[in-house]
Amino acid sequence: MSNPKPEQLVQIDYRPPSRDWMNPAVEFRRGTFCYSAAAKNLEYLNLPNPREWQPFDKDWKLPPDWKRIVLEGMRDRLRKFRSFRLFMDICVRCGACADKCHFYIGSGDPKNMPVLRAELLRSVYRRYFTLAGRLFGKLAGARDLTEDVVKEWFYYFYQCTECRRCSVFCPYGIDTAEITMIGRELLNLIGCNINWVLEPAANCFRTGNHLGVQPHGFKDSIDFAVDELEEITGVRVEAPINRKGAEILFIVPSADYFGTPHYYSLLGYLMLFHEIGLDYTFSAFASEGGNFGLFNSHEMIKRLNAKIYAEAKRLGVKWIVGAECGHMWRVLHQYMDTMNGPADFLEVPVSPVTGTRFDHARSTKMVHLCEFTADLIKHGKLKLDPSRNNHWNVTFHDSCNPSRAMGLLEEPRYILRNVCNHFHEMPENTIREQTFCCGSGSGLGTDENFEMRMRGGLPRANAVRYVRDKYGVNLLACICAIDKATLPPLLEYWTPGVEVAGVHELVGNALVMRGEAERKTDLRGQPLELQEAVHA
Amino acid sequence: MGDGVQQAVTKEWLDLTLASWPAQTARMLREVGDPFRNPVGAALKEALPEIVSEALAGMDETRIRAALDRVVRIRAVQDFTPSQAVSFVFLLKDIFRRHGAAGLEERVDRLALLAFDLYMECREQLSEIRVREARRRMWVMERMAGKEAKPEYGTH
Amino acid sequence: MELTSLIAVAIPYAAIAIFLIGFSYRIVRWSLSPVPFRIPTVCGQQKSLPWIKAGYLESPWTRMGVVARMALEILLFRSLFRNTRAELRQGPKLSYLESKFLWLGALAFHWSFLVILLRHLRFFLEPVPAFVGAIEAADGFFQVSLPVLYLTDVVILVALGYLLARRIWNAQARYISLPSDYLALALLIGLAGTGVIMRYFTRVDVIAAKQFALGLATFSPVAPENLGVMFYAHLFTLSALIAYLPFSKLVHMGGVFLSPTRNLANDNRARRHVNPWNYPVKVHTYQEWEDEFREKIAAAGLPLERQ
Repeated sequence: MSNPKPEQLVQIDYRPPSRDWMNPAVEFRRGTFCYSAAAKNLEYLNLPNPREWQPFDKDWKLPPDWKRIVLEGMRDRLRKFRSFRLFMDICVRCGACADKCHFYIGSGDPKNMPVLRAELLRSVYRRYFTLAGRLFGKLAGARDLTEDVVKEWFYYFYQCTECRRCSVFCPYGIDTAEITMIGRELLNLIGCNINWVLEPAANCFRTGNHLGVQPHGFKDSIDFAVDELEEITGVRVEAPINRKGAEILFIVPSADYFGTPHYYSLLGYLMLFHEIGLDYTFSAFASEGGNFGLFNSHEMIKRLNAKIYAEAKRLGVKWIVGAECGHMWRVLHQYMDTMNGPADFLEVPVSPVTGTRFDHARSTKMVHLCEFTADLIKHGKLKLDPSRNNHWNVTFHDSCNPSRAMGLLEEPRYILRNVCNHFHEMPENTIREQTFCCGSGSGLGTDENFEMRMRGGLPRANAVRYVRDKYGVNLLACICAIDKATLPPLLEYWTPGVEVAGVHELVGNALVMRGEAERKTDLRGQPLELQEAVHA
Repeated sequence: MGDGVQQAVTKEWLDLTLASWPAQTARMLREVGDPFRNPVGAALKEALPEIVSEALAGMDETRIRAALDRVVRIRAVQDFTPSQAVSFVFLLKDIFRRHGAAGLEERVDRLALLAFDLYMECREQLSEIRVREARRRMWVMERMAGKEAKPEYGTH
Repeated sequence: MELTSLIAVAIPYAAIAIFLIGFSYRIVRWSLSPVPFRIPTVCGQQKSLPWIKAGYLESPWTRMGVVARMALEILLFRSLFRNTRAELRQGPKLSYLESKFLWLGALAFHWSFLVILLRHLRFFLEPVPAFVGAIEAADGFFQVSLPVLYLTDVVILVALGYLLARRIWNAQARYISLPSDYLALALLIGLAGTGVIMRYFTRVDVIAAKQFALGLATFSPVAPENLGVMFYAHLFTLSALIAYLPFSKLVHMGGVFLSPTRNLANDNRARRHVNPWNYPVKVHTYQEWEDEFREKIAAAGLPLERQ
């Protein structure tokens, strides 16, 4: 018997079936989806339909009246969000967004085109909420809401990192993040959540941070950092926690005191604040700036965010500084004041060192650490030795939220140019407002979803590869906790030889402290004299 | 072997390989020229000609390895089964035959075996990276508990 | 009035009524739905420190900035153009042309359509306003034929042809297209096509057309005479289009003004945005937290509110 010819095989087996996007069937292949949320987390947060189930189960154990719940949830949100109603109505399917999504670019799955991700919801909207859809059904692009559609929503709304890149290119500004957020809210109503979102949310609600670190654990890890910093710099810094009457409350993402390379940025913060003699305090209660509520529902954002203003009030601080974190800053910049403000018990932020009044934060009263540090450097308040970062050849990755929600583009770059000698930008259409997501944001950075994350991060890694090969870049600096957690594995797979660091780790390396011992190592403990410049 | 044949083989191979992605995507992969907007297409367009030219000439293992790796590395994390992921190499056999380049079967076999090795390397690497990632998340706690002395440098 | 005249009068009126009611309903419903959060998509440097140059258009922080951003968006399709900008220096590649064509095709269609609409005011206003004459003169600048060939007539057909061809031959665009997308294009092509045939080939009686149009506009409709089948085709396509508009994606012409990612300033931290339906939620208070972890807080040497 002769073997079939290879292209026969391809034609039979390997050409993907061509089918209409309206067919909702999805296959939950391992490595491409996130596990369901554990019942205990739903119960702790009083969310509906806690149960044991997994996405690959045939029966998702939806509540008996799930369809009514979803449609009513949709009606309610159409009434509450102009964005949702408008974005359901005005898309012309021009396709400008199609190849802007990192998941589409990296996976090749056509349903990852932003326009189609939205159509998954829009088709149901048309069927139940528009005249044309009710009358003409499929001809008008309308689809019945079935269990398969729910499964498809789950698959694709947990395959969007809410990075908002597509919305930059949309002629109507249609923002897929809005659509994904609403889609996830609807899924949430019938108990279809993922654990990587709800476990951190439940932990954060209870202990104050995603990791569930309790007050003594929080203090231990900060103390550990203080001890280690003394070994590296010879300077003993203070790191006050829950101290009433401090001028500033400092909020960090919890990964900063638990994970690496985040931890090195924490060392950088501690050094900086010590050096300028800042009157500040951490809070063991508000020990998390990150807010996984953003990946669950608007209500959960508010529930988790409330502690920040509450704690600022209790401690009697004047204003708040927030550390490096991406989606944390989306919430702080675009949601916090509206949800939990007005912060009339705080004062307009004024830098105690330079006297700069941060007028752009006069209502929210919260300043990004990069804004604060850039101001210090501009006023010459820091003694910096950028040659201590000579072993790094640096590029900067704009994190989605600081760039597309805030426009925090120049502050970190200004800092980097002052603390290191070798800095190279990635190609223009992969940075700033056009930056590519790490592929693991919005709660998708979980282990079981690893393959999908590698796909989603390919466009980012590909641009890193370019500067690695062209300029010898060996360090990617960023200001996002999720980036710091998920870019190292991404780059390890796609572009080995490039490490990841927070901007304030490099500030810490370069910062010359009063009374410091001769710096023998950088913050990572790598001996300085052994390092040779690797720049091109 | 003339340049014409080499070009024809490359073009046909690219076309057949692209056909293993959905039609809408294949179009994007083929036509979007900017390598940063279209990294998969760029990898194919750079790697496949390199492999063809090596198969027709020196069979330089380092160069073939690098080129194959670019393609296999992508297919190893996309929606392909292992056999689908490396299938594109086998297509070459018949394309060569049709273009009158006889006697290259053995070379294609070697390419295919190499592709399979690379695929396995990628998959193993993925699981190693996953383990390291999990440890990085709890790195401070691990060190506080004294389970480990200072780790190797860096984030990897 | 004959039956045909009746239809020629009744259908346009009905279509206009459906359009006015339907379109206002859509706009009113959008405007009445609240904007709970200020969520601009920021495409440039924020206004923060005085020495950092902020992006006035891409990250507007004043009302004027927002107006300018919206104007660029609506008049020049700024975001669609963004598609092409990054690739300008990558050399003349197919994709660059492709995405540039989308912007160019869309822009050409919309602008010609607007100019043609304005030119049509000649039929509805007496005396004809001066600006209509000016537009006609500019549009007919290349006096290549008699009647004068209007540039926009050519451009709109080419642009619509391109937009349709793109949906048919571009696998990606075909995949995302719905029947309604083709319907909208078909109506527009029908409208422009009949207009062109009438003007350049069957040579409609312009005076009679104007009489009929003026009659409609002044609510004293007169029966159309000697206008020919093309005129009816033109009139009915137009009626179908405007009656269909409120039910279709074509409402984007109104919706684009209301898009919250574009029409809001990036001044979130400077000016508080109020959510009209903001409601109290269940939170975890400091006191609950302290009560749960009291011993651990004490053991860690951290201060307690209540001993």
